This record gives sequence, C-alpha cells and structure tokens, in this order.
Amino acid sequence: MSWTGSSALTRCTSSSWETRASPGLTGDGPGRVPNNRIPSLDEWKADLGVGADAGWIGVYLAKAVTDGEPVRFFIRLERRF
Amino acid sequence: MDSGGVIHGDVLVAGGRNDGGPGRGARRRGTGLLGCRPGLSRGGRHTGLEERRRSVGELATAQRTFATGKVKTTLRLTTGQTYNRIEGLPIVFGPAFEYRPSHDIFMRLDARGILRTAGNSSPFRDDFGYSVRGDIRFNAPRGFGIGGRVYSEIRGIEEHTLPKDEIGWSAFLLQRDNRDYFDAQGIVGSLYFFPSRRLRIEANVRHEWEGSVRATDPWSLLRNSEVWRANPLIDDGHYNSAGIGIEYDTRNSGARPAAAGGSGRGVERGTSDDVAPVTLPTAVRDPIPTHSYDYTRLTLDLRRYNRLSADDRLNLRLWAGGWLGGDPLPVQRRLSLGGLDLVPGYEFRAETCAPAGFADPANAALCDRAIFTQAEFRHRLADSIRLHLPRQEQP
Repeated sequence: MSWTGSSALTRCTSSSWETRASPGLTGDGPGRVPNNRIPSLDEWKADLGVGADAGWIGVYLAKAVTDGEPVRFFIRLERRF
Repeated sequence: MDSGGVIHGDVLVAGGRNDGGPGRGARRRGTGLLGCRPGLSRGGRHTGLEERRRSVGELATAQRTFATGKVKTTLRLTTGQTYNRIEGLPIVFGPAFEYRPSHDIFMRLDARGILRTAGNSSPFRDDFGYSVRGDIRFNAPRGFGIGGRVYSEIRGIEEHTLPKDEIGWSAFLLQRDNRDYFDAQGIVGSLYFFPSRRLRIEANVRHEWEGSVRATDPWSLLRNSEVWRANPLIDDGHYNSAGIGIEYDTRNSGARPAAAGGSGRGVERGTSDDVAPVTLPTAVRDPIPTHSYDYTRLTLDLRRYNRLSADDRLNLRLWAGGWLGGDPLPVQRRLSLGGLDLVPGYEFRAETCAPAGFADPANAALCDRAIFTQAEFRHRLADSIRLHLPRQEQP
C-alpha cells in the first residue's frame, strides 16, 4: 500500500509595531506623576519593532526610540497580542 | 475506525490527531490535513482553516476521562506549564469531577496537588502545594454561578506580562526567569454573572497569607553555573481583599483573532492588620502602617483587532494598572517596564522606579502605576506551508 500525508498548515505572518509606555510613581514630588492626570508625552517611552511568525514561533527585532538602547533580537512562542 | 479499514480519498481531521498509517491498523490513501480546524474555501483560498495549536504544557500531559452515570471524572498528571527558580518544574496531579444533575445546573470539583521539584532547604516554601476548586453554574451558558477555592500556591508578580510557558522556557534554557513570585495560601469565594457568552461579571472575596519565598537553584540548559536572580522580598502578611472584575470578549478566536475586541478590568481593595513591610526608600514610598493597612488597585486591558483586508490586520491595545487609592501598594502589587512582552525594545526591568543608588539584587518592580499602548500591523506573508509526509510503499 502507499500513503501520504501532510503536516498542519502554518501561516507565515509579518508584524510591525509601535509601543508606548509610562511606568512611574504617583503623587507629588520630583519624578512623580500627580494622581489626577496621565503622564505627559515626554514622560512616555517608546519602541518600534518588526518580526515574522509561523504561528507557533516568531522572530522579532525591537528598538527603543526614546533612549539609546541597542536593537534587541528575540524569539517568541506565541503572538505578541 | 476498525483495524484493517481503508479510506479512499482525502482525510480532514477536525480537532484531533490522525494516528493512522502502516502498522497502526487502519490504512489511508490520499492527502490529509492533520490537526486542523474546519474552514471555508473562498476563491480558491482557505479562509478559516487553522492549525490546531497545543500549548507546550499540553505536550507533557497525561489524562484520562471516564463517565460513571452523570458524573464525568478526569484523572490528570501534568506539569504546571512553566519552569521557575522557585519551584523548578511543578508537577500537577489530581482528579476533577463534573456533574450535571439537570440541563440548567453544572457542578465541578477540581482537586490538584502540586509537587515542586526544585530542592529547597528554607522554611519559606513547602515542597507540596494544592488547589481545590468547587464551582456551580446555573442556567449555563447564560446565567450565574458561585465558586470557591482553597489553595497553597506560588503566585507570580506582574502576571500580565509574558505567558507562563514562555517564562518557563526562558528559565529552563537560558536561566533567565523574567518573573517574581510569592507564596499565597488562602481561600477565595466568588459570585459571577454571565448574561451572554461575551460578558462576564465577577465579584470575589479572599483571605490569604502572602509570604516571601527564596530563589532555589534548579537546573538550566545554559548558564547552569551562574546564580539565579534573587527573588524579591514582599510585604508579608494576612490580607483580606475584595474585587470586582468585568470581562467583555467579542473575539472570534482566542489564539488568532481577526476582528472584534476584548476588554478586562478589575478593581481590588486589600486590607491587612499584620503586614510586615519591606523597607523601601522614601523616594518610592513612605513607611506603610502595620495595622489597618489598605490599598486599592486597578487593572484595565482593552484590545481591538481590526481586519483591514484578507491579509492585513491592525491590532490595538491599551493596558493600564496600579495604585488607585488608600495606602501605598505592597511590593507584590507593584509594576515595572521592560521585557519581551509589553515593551521589548527595553531590557527586562529597564525601569523599576527604584532611586539611583538603591542596591537591589532582585531588581524588584517598584512602580505605582504603568500604562502601555500598542499598535501592531500584521501582514500575511504566505497563505500556508504544507510539509508532506514521506511516501511509503508496501508490497
């Protein structure tokens, strides 16, 4: 007899993203954000990234744009979100 | 399929695995799409056919389900689907019982023991943990339910970041455990409503002991000779808390949503009369009271998945959380920035809100609040890759 088969289908997808974040301490004083407002634009950090995934694994490059961080390469086993 | 049976034509296995082939009893001819979800074909392209994904944790799961009358019993032996510097590889075992006395009532009892494989000589962590959960739902799938759980478990701090299986692989392979942990022992009761399949509203009350645990020295494939990052001390104590949570999810797929959105939010108010606080710099927080301590914390997660075309998606996310009121947050409720999940352009714990000169080998997250926004554009590069199994001939 003969038989053939095929594995699970896998989609390859590219992604590019932009992230902004602002962690901090609340309250009054230096380095703190008052409780009654969200951080101003200059208090946010941001990064840009590109990558490709095949569903079960993805490879990505990310670069912070608000600080002098190096380009980072990383592997994910799940989609970013 | 009986032994010796022959299938002529293609095989589509929806939601399972095809273990057939030579020597396995049944025979098949033609091509097969294994482990796929059924889908539609439009214009010669598959539009809904997806690989059925199993999490890494499922690969090491053994379970057996059988029914006796109206009671369905599942016996399970699996991992905790993670690997960390506190427990090593947690082994989870135990039975779960489901009972449906009528069409409108569903009852479940899930008992799990947890064996922590990493050696530990300190008195701060037991080698065994447990979780026993009971749940009764009325008028499912639209109705309400009550639940309760008693537990002794190792719980993560900042669990909104990487999934725990990816945390586990990073720790196992690279000795990089990108999460902190504490010991939680207590009891929680919850009341929840689900007026539709999309919406769930839950209120819960909890009483638990939260205590610091030390990092152990589990084996890792690389960098095994290095020392694991210290696990931070937390504000130990008995905590009473009450919380309200709302989840609204209109995604068409939890793993690969193409359109729609989801949101989850919760407010937690905690109190303690015997908290033993960690001493932190006053630049982070003033000393917290050891009696009549209370805090309020908010978590908000909004997501929107937009289908721009057959091949393009634009996904948006807003995550915000942190202090909302009361005394300063305990260490185990604080936040940070950096790491592979939310802002991967920054290294893990790039911003912890610790003042300059504050020496902390654990590099603990100390921020009161954090807010993240993400915009992601996805484009399908290839519709599918199909790897054909080798053709075998048998006389």
